[in-house]
Amino acid sequence: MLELDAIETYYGESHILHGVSIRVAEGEAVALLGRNGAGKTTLIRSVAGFTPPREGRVLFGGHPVQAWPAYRIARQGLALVPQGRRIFSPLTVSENLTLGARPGEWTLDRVYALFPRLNERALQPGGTLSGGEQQMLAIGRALMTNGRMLVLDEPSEGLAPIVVREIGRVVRGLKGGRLSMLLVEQNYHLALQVADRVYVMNKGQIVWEGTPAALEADEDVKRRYLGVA
Amino acid sequence: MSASAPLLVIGGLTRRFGALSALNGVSLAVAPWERRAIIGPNGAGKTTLFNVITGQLRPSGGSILFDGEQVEGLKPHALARRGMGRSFQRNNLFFKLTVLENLRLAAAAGGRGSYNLLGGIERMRAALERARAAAEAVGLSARLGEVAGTLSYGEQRQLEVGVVLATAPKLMLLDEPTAGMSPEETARMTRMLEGLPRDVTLLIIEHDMDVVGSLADRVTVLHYGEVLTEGTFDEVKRDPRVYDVYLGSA
Amino acid sequence: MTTARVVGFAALVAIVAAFPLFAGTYPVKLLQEILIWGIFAMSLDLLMGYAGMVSFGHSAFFGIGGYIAALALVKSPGLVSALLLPALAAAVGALVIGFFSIRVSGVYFIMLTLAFSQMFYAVTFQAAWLGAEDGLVGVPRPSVFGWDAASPRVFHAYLLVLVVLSVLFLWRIVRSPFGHVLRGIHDNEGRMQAVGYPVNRYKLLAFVIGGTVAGVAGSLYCQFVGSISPDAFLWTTSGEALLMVIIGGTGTLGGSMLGAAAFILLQSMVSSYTERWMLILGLTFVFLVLFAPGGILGALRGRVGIHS
Repeated sequence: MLELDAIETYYGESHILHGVSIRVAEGEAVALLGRNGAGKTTLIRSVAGFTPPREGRVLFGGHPVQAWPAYRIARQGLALVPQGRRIFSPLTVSENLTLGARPGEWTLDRVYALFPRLNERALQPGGTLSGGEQQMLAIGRALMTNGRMLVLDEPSEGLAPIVVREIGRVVRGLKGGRLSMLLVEQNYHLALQVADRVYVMNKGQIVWEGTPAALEADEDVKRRYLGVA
Repeated sequence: MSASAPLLVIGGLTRRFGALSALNGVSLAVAPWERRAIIGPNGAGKTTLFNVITGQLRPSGGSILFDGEQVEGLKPHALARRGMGRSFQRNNLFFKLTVLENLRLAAAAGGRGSYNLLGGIERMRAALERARAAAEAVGLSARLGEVAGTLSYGEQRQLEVGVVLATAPKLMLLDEPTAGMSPEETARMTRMLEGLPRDVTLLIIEHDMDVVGSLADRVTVLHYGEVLTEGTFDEVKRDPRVYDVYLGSA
Repeated sequence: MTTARVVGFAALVAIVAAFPLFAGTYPVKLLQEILIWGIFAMSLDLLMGYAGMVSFGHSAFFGIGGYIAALALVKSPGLVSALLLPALAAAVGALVIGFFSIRVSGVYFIMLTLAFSQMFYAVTFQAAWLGAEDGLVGVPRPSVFGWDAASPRVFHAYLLVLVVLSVLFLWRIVRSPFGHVLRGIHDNEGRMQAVGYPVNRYKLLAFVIGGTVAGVAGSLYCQFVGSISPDAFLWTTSGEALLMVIIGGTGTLGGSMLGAAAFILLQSMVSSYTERWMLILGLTFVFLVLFAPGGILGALRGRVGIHS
């Protein structure tokens, strides 16, 4: 579904991503772990078209999209749940959900069934929702675009542990079927609950790849790249 | 270095945003000439802590003792005048002015010379000297005439630290000095920070553990607005609670 | 200051000084009006282009200067009445208005300064002892070191001297350490605070200096016309100065004088053909904003932006 082929991404003259290659197969859920500053968000930005790579290729659904404008990539079926939620504060919950909606199996009713709390607050402005509710709204908004791949950038950020657990439950429930998933996270436990495969990033490079079980067993990698050295 | 009174003492500092407690009773003490790193996962309250210490935000409670004086509630410029300097996570420079002017403005801050209505800028010799020295310390001596907005991101980050240095502070609070930098730039910045005069006390927020390892004498770990633990980098590295906190809640 | 600039400036002053010798009464009057408005606009450019404070109430100080001059000159037509009292009054006015306005920024600062200036308009419009809507007339020109400024030649010289002094004063300020602080504030006020500048104090000082020079301009205007009316306080007076600054080039000082010239000449020329000269002005302004955001001076210097 998604393939990054040795991409090199820069912010101006700063060389942030060094030869990054990852794969997400159709229907697969892949997690990208790493500390702050590892380059995870830069990778997402390179995939979504916000910060195109200077070298290398991004293949989405078979198309080389590394030079495409972001909206075109979105139309191809990339559904982004951005870091920090970024819901539209002045718009109501239902307006947020229907704004980018496209036909498909995810309808407003189905999203409300998944997130009953959003249904209760359908007419409330997005900005009045709590952090956890905004995260649900952001996920619902992405689902409504009926895309082929869901990209979640640090959905647990800034949320209390109990809310993180609920988000994890929801994301786990979205698995199965043809929806592919790329999950970027700092929260190791959340990522491992969801992912079929895991990449670990450090300083703009992929430093480890494997299954959740393999990562769980590798104390050295966990300590060095996810903990404090 | 003989034992002396701590330069900065924070007691039970709290800061609430509505129902959210960004800082929940943070206490720490930094000795003069110490290099302390503040680390912690996202949302731990590190930048909020800096904002409260430097007067950008008022504390909801607690005390801040700087160089023997209670300073909670003072405005940023008053704290800067007392010797507290702070760099920002996102470059916060005078983008339309030259590197030299960025540094000169910082060096001249708080002096009466800046009320001079009719004199010439060349007369501000002391400030210009401090500006050049700061440029030297951060490796920008060759770029003095460049407009700050035209510098590379890494150079801007260097200037960001230089501006603080030019104010000749007693305490420098650096907020993620290597944020957004490539590995090469980070290495350069780390060397530059290591080379800073040791009579300036450093308090650094960092995510890059190599930088923390190279620079810090002691490390304070924040989590959800509280101090989880404190110690040398080795001690903190080995602490299982720190490890758990970084890997996130189960 | 480069030799070229010194020579250029001196040449300009010489031409302006000699103008009455080869031009008729009406062109001389136009030139004098340009000089006075040029000073007024320059004082606003100090605030807008250098300190980054967009004020829509600068007419307050223009009007204060004019009215104090009118009241004082009638009693005692000397330099104290013509300059010292109006300048002091404008300075005090700027101190008070500035004290309240500088606490806020952006749109709120614009609205507050506008509101204060319109308060003056309302008061003078109503006050019978100030001539109400007709204002004060029959204001004599002062005697300057023995010479009577009622004489056109003397007035021209007297005006020119004051204008040159004002220009040099503002020019020096802009290049001084204080001027550099203002530029720092304009570029990044937050960082200026963070490195230790009590920014509001500097802004207030800039506001008072700008207001004082505006008061001098207002006083000169009163002496030029021989009368002063509440229109001096009207928001259109502030607006015209704003336009002059922008047309000439914000943040250039000299541009404001050019802008005043462009504005007044345009008004004079076009209004002799049509009543719709404002439309032409509006279109010119739109054209400038789209194609030469640095104003006339900016375009001449080949830049699109402020500051050298």
